[in-house]
Amino acid sequence: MNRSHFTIISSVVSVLALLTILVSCLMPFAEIGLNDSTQSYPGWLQSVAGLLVTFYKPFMPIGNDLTKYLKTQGVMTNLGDYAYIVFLSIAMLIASLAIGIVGREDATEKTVIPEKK
Amino acid sequence: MYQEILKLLNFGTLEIEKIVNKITTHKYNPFYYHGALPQFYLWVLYLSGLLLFAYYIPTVDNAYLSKSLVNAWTSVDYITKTLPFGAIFRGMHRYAGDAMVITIILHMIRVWFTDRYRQYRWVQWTSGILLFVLVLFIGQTGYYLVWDDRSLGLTRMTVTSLAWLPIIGQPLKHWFLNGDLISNLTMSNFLFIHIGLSFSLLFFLWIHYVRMTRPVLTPPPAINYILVALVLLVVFLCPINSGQMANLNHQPTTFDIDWFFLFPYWLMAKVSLLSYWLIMFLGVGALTIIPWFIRTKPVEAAEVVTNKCTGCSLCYRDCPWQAIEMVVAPANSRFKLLATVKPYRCTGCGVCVGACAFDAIDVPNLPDAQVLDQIKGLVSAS
Repeated sequence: MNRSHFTIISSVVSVLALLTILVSCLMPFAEIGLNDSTQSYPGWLQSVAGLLVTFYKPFMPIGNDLTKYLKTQGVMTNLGDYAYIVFLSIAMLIASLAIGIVGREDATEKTVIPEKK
Repeated sequence: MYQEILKLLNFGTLEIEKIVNKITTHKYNPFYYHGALPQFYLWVLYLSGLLLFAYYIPTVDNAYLSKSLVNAWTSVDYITKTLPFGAIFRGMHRYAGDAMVITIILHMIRVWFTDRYRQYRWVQWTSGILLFVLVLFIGQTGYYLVWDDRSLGLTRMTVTSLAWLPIIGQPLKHWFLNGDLISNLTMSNFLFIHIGLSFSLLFFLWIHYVRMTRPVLTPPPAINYILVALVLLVVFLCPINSGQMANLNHQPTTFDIDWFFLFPYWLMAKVSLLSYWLIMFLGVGALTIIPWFIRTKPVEAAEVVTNKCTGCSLCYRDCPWQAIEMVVAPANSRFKLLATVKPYRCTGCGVCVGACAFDAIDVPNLPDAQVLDQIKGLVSAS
């Protein structure tokens, strides 16, 4: 594997890793019901609640869409659980992609054909 | 004719695998873990089932009188609506079951198309069919446990179909209901069947693996993540909702069907009970006897060249069919061990020829040079 190839793979893996972390950060947002309410945050998180809400703000429309979809499907309680698994599954899919890219190198099988004596 | 079709199907399967290899590499090609995929879902089912079991109450006590009573339906309702992540685990349990059926069918098709179900592998095929039937039955008992309208309908249909059978019908009905009528004992029995049979799968899996040299039991983590993520996405897209609580004074006439598990009930509703049982018995029987039904030219087994064999065991370790046994070498030999071939197990695949570094094993009508050419071709292709 040459150096440029290695750099490209490293960059892609880094982007995927960052995406995984970003989507993972959305899980708590999903768990509290996809809204900007900070009441259910534990005490030690209240001090940074404003920062978290600012981070989650761009994702509010997604939260509204998910809530609307779930209600049409007959889900009335624990909506956050469903949204949580959406973000969890997206994080897992991205992580598997990153693992797959890292693992491609190991996948090059070194087959040795025995020399007949 | 059949052989020609099989060759074509085999070729098609391998070509698809080659294309997937180019995208995923052989390390992450799901086709190479086709047997391990259903087993992975089995672990998901065990874990999610364990969590559901902790909150499930197997009773039908006055189910139709009051919602405030604690019974099977209300406990499932509590799991779904109140318990944190209860609905998710319930959904995972349901859809991992469906995914297991899909992956089992894909596994069967792959094994069939690549002609790996006959001869020495009849044990795997037959135990596989038994496992498949068990999985379907266990899945059906899962639908009884919810104890909604559909559960009642399915239970009554099962009782009617069992009771119809001559001689064994009434004892089977009594066993199924754990008495003569639907009662709390019936639900206990359903739960016992559901969980007990699920664990008996492990025994049959052992039989399924017993003749394999190196069974692939677990897919790599990247594939496992995808498998779980897919189930979670389906849980989100199609959330699980229970029907109305079962009412023993009421006979449900229509209900939704999960085609992966409940297709026999659809059939039961369409045809007479005689036709239903005939189709069931003949269908399962035909699938089971396929390995003996397909007759092909007997394979010419590999032969060891005794005076060249050094007893190094390379062929013994590589043979995927356990067709080579290492025995004590004759007294006049310079070596301690000698490879011997069990002809009834040999499929003439040539793996041993490729493994032997001493040119000490041959497959009739398949010269060494041809085997080596095939290996080199495969290596360069990958």
